[in-house]
Amino acid sequence: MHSLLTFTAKELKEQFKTFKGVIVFLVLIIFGMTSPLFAKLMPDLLRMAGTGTIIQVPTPTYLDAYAQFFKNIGQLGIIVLILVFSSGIVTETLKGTAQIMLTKQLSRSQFILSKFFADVLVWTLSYTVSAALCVIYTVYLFPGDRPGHLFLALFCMWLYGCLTIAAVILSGTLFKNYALAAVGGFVIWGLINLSSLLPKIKDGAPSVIGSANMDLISRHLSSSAMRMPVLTACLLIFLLLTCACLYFRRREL
Amino acid sequence: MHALQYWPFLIPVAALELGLMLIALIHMIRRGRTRTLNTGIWAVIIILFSLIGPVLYFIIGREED
Repeated sequence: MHSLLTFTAKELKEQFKTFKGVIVFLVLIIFGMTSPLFAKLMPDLLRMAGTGTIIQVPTPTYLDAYAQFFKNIGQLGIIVLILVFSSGIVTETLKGTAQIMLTKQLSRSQFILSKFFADVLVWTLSYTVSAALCVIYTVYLFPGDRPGHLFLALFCMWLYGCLTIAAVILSGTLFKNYALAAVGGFVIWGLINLSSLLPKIKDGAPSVIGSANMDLISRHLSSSAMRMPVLTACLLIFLLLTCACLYFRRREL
Repeated sequence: MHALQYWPFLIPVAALELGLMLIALIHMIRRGRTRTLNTGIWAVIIILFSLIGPVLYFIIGREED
C-alpha cells in the first residue's frame, strides 16, 4: 500500500513535469469558462457574423450553457484525455523506466494502479475546477434559473472520465506503440459508447453516464434512473483495470 | 454592442490560451528540437491554432527528456 501511494505521488509529479497534467488542466478550465460564455454570446455572435439575412435565435438559457459544457467535456475533453494519457505506460516500457521501478518493491499490478490513480487525480482536479467555473459563470450570466440534478449530472461526467481513463490504461498495456495505444483507447471508448445501442441494456449501459447529463439537469430523468448506469460503469472500471493488471503481469517488457 | 459588455469574462480565457501558447513555444525553443516535423512548422501550428496547436505539440511534437 505504501509503495502504491509513493509511486502514485511520483506519477502525479511526472504528469506535471511532462506538461500532461498542465494540458488537461488548462484545456478543461478553458472549456469550463467558455461554455456558458459562448452560450450567452451566441445570438450576438451570429448577428455580428450575419450577412444581411435575418437569423431567428431563441434567447439562450442556463440549459444551453450546461449543454455546451457537457458537449465540450464529453467529446473534446475526453479526446484530449485519451491522447494525453494513452502514452503513459508505453513511454515507461519503451524507455525502460518501468523495468527499473518493477525491480524495486512495486508489483506489476501496483504499477498499473498507480498510473490509473495519478491520471484520475489529474482528471479530478482539472474537472472540479472546470465544473466550478462553469457553474459560477452560469449562475452569473443566467441568474434566477435553478437546474435539476446538477451535482449528479456533474458526478456522472466525472465517472465517465474515470471510465475512459481505465479504457486508456488497458489499451496502454495491450500495445507497445504510442499510436496503437491511442487508437486502442479510442476503440475501447467507442465500444463502451456503443453499448447503449443494445436494446436490452440501453437504460443501464455505462455510457449513459456520459450522455444523460442534460436530461438530469432539465429534470427529464430522475436521479434513481442513474443507479444502474453508475453501477455498471463502476463495475466496468473494475473489469478494465483487472484485465489490464492480468495482462501486464504476463507481458514481456 | 451587447457582446462587448462581457469582455471581463473573455480576458481570463484569452490569457489562458496565450499562456498555453507561450509555454509550448518556450518549451520548444529551449529544447531546440521536436519529435515530429521541424521546429518552424510547430511554431506556426502553435501560433495559428490556439488551444489545439499547443495541445498537439505536447502530445505528438514534444521531444522526450
